Amino acid sequence: MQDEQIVALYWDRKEEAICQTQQKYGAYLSKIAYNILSDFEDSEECVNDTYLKAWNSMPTHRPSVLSTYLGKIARQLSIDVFRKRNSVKRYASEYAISLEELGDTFSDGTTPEQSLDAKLLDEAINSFLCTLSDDARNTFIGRYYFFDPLKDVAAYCGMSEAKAKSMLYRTRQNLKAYLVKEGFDL
Amino acid sequence: MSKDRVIDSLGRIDDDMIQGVEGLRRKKRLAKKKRVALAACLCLLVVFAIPAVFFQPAESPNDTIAPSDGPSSLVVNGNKYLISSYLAVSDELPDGFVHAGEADIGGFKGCLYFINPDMPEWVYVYQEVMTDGTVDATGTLNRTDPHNAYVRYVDIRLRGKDIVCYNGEYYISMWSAEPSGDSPDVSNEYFDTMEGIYGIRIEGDAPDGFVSAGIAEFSGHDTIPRGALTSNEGAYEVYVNPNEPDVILVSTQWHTAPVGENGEKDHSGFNVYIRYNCPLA
Repeated sequence: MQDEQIVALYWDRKEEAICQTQQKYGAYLSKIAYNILSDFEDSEECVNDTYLKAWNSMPTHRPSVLSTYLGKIARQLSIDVFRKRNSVKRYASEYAISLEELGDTFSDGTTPEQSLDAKLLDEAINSFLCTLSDDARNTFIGRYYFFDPLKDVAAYCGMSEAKAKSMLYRTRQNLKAYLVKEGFDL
Repeated sequence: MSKDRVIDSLGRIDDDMIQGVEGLRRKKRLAKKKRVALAACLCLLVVFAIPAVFFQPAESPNDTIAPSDGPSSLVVNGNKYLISSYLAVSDELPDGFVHAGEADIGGFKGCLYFINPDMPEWVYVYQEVMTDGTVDATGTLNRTDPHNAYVRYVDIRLRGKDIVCYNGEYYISMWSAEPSGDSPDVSNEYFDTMEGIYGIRIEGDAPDGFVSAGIAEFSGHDTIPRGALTSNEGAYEVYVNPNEPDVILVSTQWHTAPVGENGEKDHSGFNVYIRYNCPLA
């Protein structure tokens, strides 16, 4: 079923929307959640919450690309669960490893900069990603958006693991420099 | 700037950039069944991988504890083992393996582990899983109710390494050769030199001087290939050049769908394998 048809089902408040979403994007969403949580049951819970959130948000939203819309929801819900539970239940996930990688460039997650306008940061990071080569951008998004294992990222970006690792390191450093240049306090 | 803020912002990047990577991930799966299995296998990994494994082998006080940030791992006789990247779960303990101790893995305490003196590159752990290790027609890992099974762990020096044995010499795929870290497969200098000469992969016909040596016999995943011409990746045709003994070429096919373009394309060519000193051979 096409995305437009699935979205239409949501707008018509037909529960079949959930079934169709599950059928088409269940595995995709599970993979995102698994990469973050590395726990089958917690991931499944996040994917189910994604369906619920999609149900509650359509209407009013009418996403043109359902995969990214749902993926972003699943990603954030899974990260929220990770942050909430990680102090009592340690997840040894790709997300956890990615956080450590980012630790060589950015501080831990508890530093206060709540006043920082998130939109400005969003725009800066979007702009930065646009400056990258296709390879650098894809490896960065593969690793830090999807939290795919490095070997997978290297494989689907068509490069060696060593090269992907090196490219990610350079991109992290360049992002830091870019944000400093844009006036963000690191 | 905290890394959490960066992570959150990355969750709001433009859809077209995400779609570009989605396309790469999807096409890679469709193009190569093996990669599908690997992706499913990674799901298997995360089923197992929970907290760090702190393992105290019973048979030797010299063995170390291995905190893990990634997949489940344990240390036996000083060697680190990671859960196999292939679907290696079985109800029966493979022949030749004998009980060697207990380990706490991912919150499961006292998992029995088994070793085989004739196959030191593998350890089996009897632990709780939620899969029988099989995949369905779409490549999705089949889920089962939680149950105990024997799970293969592989020496990290072998896990994920694509290796060919040709006339007793060992060659490792440039894709899987690790030139850095605590125990690199090859030196950085050697890797860079070979990459500069041959690249990682060659598209099209074999370069001048390379001729077919035949189709490698598949020795099985996670194994050390042995013999005249064997591979632990699969039964692929191997090309050699007597004048260039440090490299062999292994035939391959792949599929690309460049970001921002419509030109999806099938390719054929060769993966480059370079000679190396296989530490487990």
